[in-house]
Amino acid sequence: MRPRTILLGCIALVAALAPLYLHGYALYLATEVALYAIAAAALDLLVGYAGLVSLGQAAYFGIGAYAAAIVAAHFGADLWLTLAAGFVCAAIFAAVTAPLTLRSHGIFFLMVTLAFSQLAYATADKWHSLTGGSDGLVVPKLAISDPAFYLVALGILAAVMLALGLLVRSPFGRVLAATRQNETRVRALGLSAFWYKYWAIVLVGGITGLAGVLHAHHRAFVSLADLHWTNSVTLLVMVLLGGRQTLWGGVVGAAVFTLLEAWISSKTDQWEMFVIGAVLIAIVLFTPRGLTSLFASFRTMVGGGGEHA
Amino acid sequence: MPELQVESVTKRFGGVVALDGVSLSIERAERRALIGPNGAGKSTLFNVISGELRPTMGDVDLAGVRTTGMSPERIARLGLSRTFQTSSLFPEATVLENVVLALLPGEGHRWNCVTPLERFAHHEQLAREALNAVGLLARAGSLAGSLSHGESRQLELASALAQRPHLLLLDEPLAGLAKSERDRIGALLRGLPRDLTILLIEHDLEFAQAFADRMTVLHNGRVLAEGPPDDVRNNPAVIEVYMGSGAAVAARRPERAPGPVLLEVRGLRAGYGEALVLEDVSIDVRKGEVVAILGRNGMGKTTLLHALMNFVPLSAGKVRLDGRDLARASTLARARAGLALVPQGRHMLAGLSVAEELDLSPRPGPWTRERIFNLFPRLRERAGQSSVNLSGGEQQMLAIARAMLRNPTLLLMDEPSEGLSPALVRSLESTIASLRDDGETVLLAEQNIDLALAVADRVYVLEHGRVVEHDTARAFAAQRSRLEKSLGV
Repeated sequence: MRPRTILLGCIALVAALAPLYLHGYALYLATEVALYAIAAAALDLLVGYAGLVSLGQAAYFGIGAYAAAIVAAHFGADLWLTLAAGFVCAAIFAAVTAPLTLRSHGIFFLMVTLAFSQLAYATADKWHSLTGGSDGLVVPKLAISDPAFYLVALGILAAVMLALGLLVRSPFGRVLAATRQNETRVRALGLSAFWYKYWAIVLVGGITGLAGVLHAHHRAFVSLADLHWTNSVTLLVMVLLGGRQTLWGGVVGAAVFTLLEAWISSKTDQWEMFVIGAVLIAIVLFTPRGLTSLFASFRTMVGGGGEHA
Repeated sequence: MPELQVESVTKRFGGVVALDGVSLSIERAERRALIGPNGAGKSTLFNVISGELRPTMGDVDLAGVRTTGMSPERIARLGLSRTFQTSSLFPEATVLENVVLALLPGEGHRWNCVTPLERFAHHEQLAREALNAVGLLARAGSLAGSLSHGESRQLELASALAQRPHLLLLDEPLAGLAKSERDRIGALLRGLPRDLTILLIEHDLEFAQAFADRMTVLHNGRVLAEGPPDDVRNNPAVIEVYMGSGAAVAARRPERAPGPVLLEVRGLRAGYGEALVLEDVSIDVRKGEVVAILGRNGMGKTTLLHALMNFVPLSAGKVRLDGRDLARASTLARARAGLALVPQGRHMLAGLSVAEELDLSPRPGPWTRERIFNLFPRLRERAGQSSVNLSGGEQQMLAIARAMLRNPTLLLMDEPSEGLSPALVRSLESTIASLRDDGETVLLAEQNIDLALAVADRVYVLEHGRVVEHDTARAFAAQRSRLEKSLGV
């Protein structure tokens, strides 16, 4: 077995056995890491591979969360039903908005995705009868224990990583990465750059919706904060922190960011954002390719071979 | 039925008419060359045929199918493939992957999203064959971004052929290549299958004439002449517009007393990361002189100019401008000290108009906007237009104008003749000559021996990051073979 496979196996084992040694708040944080990692890894498909820097992920995340709350309230707190609803609703939102966002490029794509997520926010704010407006909605409790819920989140993360890992190596993923490098050429080869980016956005929308569903169940509450644009920024920071174009970067970034935030807010309640900001600046300055690049440099240093992640 | 039929196509950009009722009919298996001065509309016509631009009026038929208004990807799947004027690849993908991606529409599986691309053995086999056909198989595993200019052209050709096109559009496949690479790519092009219909844009008239069955001359967006190559070349109207009338030989210049040394470069070493490009370069430029640096691609000309501007840090050596030590100075400080660069490839700023480009950073001095407009009347006409929409020759004028408005002590020019037609190279020649007559000091990096000898006072020859020859232009003109050896002509 290659070192990489062994390492991944060890990480998976340590993560899967977490309920044995983590309890209470620590397990709560581990669950948060898993569900944010799902959304961050999905965002990396857009940012790192397709070259689409989206600032609209909060919409998919929030729509997933609200879908879970509303479905659970009307049809009962069924985990799989809410997951399906969250995936479908967020994917539909992505499918409807993508033709418009894809008309723009670069910084304008960022602004248009942000505008659509603000539209979702404003709609949730005004549509009081469905969303509870600024009061939010209570999500009925699931009939599973906290450790079981953690394992569900971890399982979904594993499935998402597997699916995205296959996708980026497949013809679809390679064409998607090619559109980032030279869209004119992709089209001249007879490949429709638009549809590759379109389906990538729809898929990422759905996966981010799943993360939103898990978030809703985990907090047992959804509110406008779930749709707030700062969530989009957090996810983007996680991807950049961990390293673009690796998928694992999103997972590492989600873990580091979530744990850092928790640790610092336990030490101070006034300097929280200041310290987080300073740490982020330092990491981005000293490892421009993200934290996962440290692993690659370490491997080069000890002389290990193998392909890049 | 012709393979390609262009029916009175007109294309306007704002008020500018790039194509004015162009009609063209190319038979199956025909090789057609499309020639004409810069700004004649050749690339625009290509972009209309391949679907990147929609014609304002007129129609395009591909083997009897009307393709006007179709997307580039649909037209490509109908059997058209093309190369681009500036090499365009997927730089972060391997050479092999670049070709495999080109095979996807034809060989299937382009929507597969679970099987790794490497598992498609059939695709890989075909891609290797295509690479072998252009002699690039040895580089299959390299990143496309690491290829040389000539190798990029080979790869572009391999992936265009992998598309199994009925019609192949080649946009200046020989531009910017050194002589040896030119010969290699030229032979590849001549060896293309005879049953393939090819439309070629090329400035190298000799090559176009030898390659094509028929030639079409485009001028100011109209078809000026069409016919067998020999007829077209002897057509007086064609000679007039394409070659520039008179083919003036650079006037014998009076010998001048050398001025004081303005730029002094001693023992300069520079490179990118581990790769050292300039080993040890020492040159002088005196005030009022035009000095040419001649060398093939990859010999360090651009790196030298970039090192002078501090785009590339020096690892060793001295740079003094007007007696002032610049070795540690920032790019900004060097620009303020009076260095101005006309970059290779012109570097127009997207979104700015011609007037705005000129207003970017003028410094007070003898060169004013009015004087620039007198030198380049074309820029006055185009002042309100977006600079990226100018033709290649107009962009070169603008790049020179932009640098002259800095009122530089020393003007650095990086291969200004690249991609210009012979007539425009001649007009560039007279521009540089008039700068020289106005007492400007110019350091010119070039591959074009004729241009360099016509305008320069002295010439340095750069080879593998070292100065291997140095003499007056007059002396080199008497012994051209000394230059031709280094430039591989």
